[in-house]
Amino acid sequence: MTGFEAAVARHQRRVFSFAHYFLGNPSEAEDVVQEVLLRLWQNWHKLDAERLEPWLTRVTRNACYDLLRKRRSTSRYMVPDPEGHATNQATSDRPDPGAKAEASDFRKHLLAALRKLDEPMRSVLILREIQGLKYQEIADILEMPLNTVRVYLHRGRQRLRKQLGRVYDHVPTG
Amino acid sequence: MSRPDDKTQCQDLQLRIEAFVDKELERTEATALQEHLEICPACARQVRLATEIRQELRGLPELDTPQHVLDSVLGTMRRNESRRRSWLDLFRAPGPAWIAVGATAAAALFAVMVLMPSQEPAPPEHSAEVEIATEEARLAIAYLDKLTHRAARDLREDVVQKRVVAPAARGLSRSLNAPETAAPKSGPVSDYRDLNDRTRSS
Repeated sequence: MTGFEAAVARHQRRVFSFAHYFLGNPSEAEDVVQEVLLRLWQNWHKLDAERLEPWLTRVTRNACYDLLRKRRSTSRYMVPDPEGHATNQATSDRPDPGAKAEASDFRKHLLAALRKLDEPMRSVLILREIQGLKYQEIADILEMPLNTVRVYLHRGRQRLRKQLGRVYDHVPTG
Repeated sequence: MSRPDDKTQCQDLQLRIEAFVDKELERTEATALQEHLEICPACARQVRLATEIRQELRGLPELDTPQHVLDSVLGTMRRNESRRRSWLDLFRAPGPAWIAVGATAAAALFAVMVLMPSQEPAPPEHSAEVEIATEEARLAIAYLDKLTHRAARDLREDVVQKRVVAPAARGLSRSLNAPETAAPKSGPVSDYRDLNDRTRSS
């Protein structure tokens, strides 16, 4: 096994998981993985092994964000839900290999709420809460101050709480 | 002691619930909020919800990339690497391989030069006609030259015949047949007669 293949084996879960939770569409997440691995291949000899993971996470996040913007500009894929939010029709139509992860009703609503968050709150939440990165690592990847990461994290969780509060009648009092 | 309808504390808690769940608040602040939660069911529900969200997010599994995606990507890259290496091996090869490469390149260059149409403008399609016409003109000039020579020769012969020989012959025959009484006339005939006379006298 080459060094490149070993790196792919080591980091593929992080890349695919981020893309999957960010986009909520397995097919698009696969596209992102392909794109990220291609870029890893192209830059393989320039990259420092110790900085590989932050680099991969940044490239993955940027690829997801680009895809999200492209998706938003393609209005035919967007259908308004009863609450007036835009959702991706392809997401609900395609079989999802991560369906087990969304088995519970609460989890399903939570992931739907996560996908409605604006950037960079969505990235911060995925990196911190799902992937368990440290604040400083997130700050380096997203190139923002440490305190800004904290603010986005708390704000993102507040929004999730508000969204889920509507569903589960946990109406915020604030 | 906080009251359940104390909106200030409720609003304050709303901004701090996540920090409270993460245990990031100062001890005194955390204690005050804990006391509020004991008497405010709405805020307590919010804290429970925030805790559930945090636990649920942290419990989400990392997902493996589908194997067919990895196989596809790695297969493509292996093929590309194999092609790249074969080229690199060629460049690193010792003399004989380079000679073969050079010969192949020269042959290819030669083929291109021979097979590719010339960059010079193509000759006009009627060049054969021009060539024929040129040849005909050359022949005509040669023929005219020959005619000219013949005409010149004929002219010379004619002039000599008519203007020299014939009069001389006539004069000679006349002089032989008639007495020399007539006055000599100037002209070729008389000149010829004079000459004849001088020759005879000498």
